[in-house]
Amino acid sequence: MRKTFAARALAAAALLLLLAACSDEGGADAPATLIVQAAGGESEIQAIEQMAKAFEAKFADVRVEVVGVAQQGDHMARLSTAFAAGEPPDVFLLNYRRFGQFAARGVIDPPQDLSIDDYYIQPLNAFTFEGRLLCLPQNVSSSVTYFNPSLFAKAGVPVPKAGWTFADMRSAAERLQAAGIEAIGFEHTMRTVAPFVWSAGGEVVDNVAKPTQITLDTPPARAALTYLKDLLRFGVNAAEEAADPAEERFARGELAMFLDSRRAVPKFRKSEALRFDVAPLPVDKQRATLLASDAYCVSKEGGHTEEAHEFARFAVGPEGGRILAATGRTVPSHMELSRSDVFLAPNEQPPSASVWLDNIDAVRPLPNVGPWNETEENASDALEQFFADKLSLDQTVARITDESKRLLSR
Amino acid sequence: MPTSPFFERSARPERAERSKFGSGAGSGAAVVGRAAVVVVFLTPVAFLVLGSLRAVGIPPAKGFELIPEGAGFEAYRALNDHIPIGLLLRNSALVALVAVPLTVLVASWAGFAMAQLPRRARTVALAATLGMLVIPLPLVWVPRFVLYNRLGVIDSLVPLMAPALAATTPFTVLLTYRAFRRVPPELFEAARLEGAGALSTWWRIGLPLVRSTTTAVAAIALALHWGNYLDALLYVRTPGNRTLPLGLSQLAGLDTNDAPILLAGAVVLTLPPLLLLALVQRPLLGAVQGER
Repeated sequence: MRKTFAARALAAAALLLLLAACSDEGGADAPATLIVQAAGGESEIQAIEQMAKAFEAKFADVRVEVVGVAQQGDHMARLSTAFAAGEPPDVFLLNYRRFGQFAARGVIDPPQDLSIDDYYIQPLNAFTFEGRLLCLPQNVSSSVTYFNPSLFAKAGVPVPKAGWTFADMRSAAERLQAAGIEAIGFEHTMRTVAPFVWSAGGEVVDNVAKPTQITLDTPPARAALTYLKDLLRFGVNAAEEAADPAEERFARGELAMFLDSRRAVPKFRKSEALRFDVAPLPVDKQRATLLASDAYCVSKEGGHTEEAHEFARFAVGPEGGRILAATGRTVPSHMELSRSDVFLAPNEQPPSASVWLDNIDAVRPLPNVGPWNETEENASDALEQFFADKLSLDQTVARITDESKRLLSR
Repeated sequence: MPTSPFFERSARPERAERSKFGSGAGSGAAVVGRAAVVVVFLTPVAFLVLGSLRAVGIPPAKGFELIPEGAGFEAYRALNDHIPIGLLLRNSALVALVAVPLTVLVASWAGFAMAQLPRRARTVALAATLGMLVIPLPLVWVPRFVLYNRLGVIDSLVPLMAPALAATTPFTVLLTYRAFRRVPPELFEAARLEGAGALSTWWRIGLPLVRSTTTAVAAIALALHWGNYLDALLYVRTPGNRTLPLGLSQLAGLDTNDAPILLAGAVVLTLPPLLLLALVQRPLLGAVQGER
């Protein structure tokens, strides 16, 4: 009798496995179920789900299943695995700095029948790969200076405004600190560094379309890096940033200036006691800011490409774009929508939301080629060490240059 | 054959090994040392629990708070507003209920079989098992995806249980192998002479003598399956099939002012395995010190 125990145990386990398989609620998708994968916080995913419901209401024969992934890294791992296994989602939302690896593999089905005249050209260009538009951009955000007017008033310092210079920003930071106010904080990554390099007259890469190396070893780029590092003397240094990020300090009303794109707005709006506004980044030799844009891409192997394109068009069009813009997180790529009160929201913070629209003619993209994502992450690691005083300027630019040559040559 | 003591048949009596291990048990230094270890491991748990008791919707604390601001269970009550905690717990429990016994069964079979192999075959099997330990996990993501997809079990709980069919990790096989190698071979030989088959020998002679190790294997399997985020991320899509770690990752997308909700979720994830491990700590210690 005991001899048969193991066989019975195995049979029971197999039965449980079978039962678990049978409990699969999503295994038998209806033919017109679209899988849409996106990364983002709870509010962003909820907004996409809300948009998906609006789409279903309009196209009754299509069901949309939104797969929300909280972290970008997990989003990329899930996408890469699914593509490699030949079972990708029908639609996926990606930043242009990360879409190159999918574009290069030819797994994206180009959009059809889009009236591109309704959209800003800058994000369309960012999702154009080898001369062909591959994904439909939902937003055209850019880096700005968030500031707390109360803290500026307390220190008797004029608030930032369009056309202010690198010297103005430094002077404001110095005076704010002298008044006992923490002046400035920012992410210590390529996202922050790039627009300052451009403004100082430098370039981030040798060729945006076909980069072979990062070019932070030039005098203007070195000057921009030195300038940013010097600013940290008046604000949140690397150790403080690690312990309590600048974004949190700004949200609590303790930090005077914070550099970021539109993505920080929903969080700051939630902090009821916080009053904030935005201004363009300071200018050195020329106006420049970094393009931040995400787009809906359709998988060639998704199985429902027609419906998927319909969904992508709906998402970036006035109806879908309105739902996403209402979250406060996006600057719509649809021109008419971006100029409407849905985005400008005159009764909500920041009062100067039009800064993002004024920025559009000064936005510049980082490369969108296949190896760029890894190259940028690698460079950002070195930059973090630079701002933390663990690498000298020479060591930083040398490491970034060498590593970028290696990674971009793949 | 590897020459590490880990793989050698123990020549020392188990009791002597235990008494040696426990020789300093009563000394002050040992007590201080153990207390230090407890403090190191319990401090993050204390942070977790205290953080989860903080009021929701207020900016995060700047440092450690012994009494959290607005202390209460608001975050636990809010948990279900963000993730279907009951469903996630049910799915995680179902995975653990299948995968843990299956892991113990497969690992003990594999370990027992390896221990009975002739020397040359045993060396090959050991090398292969060790080799599998060093295979980077990302290498198996795609083959597994393809396999599960072909079997029609993608986006179900099966991919989360399936690793148990291979003992979850080669480490559990090595553990049971080591335990079975400690059993005097004469016992198995005697059983064979009395006509017992392999399964009967494993069940009646081997398994009762390595109970502490199988308990340890069960604990490892529980920890791995209960906290298995990656497989859930890669192979599960439908909300109804998600497990607790995946639900917890959704909470990571919450605003930092809602961090207590994330911490409350982490407490719910951590508590069941902690309680179970506390219940089986005696046999676990037995596995560390050597089989009785």
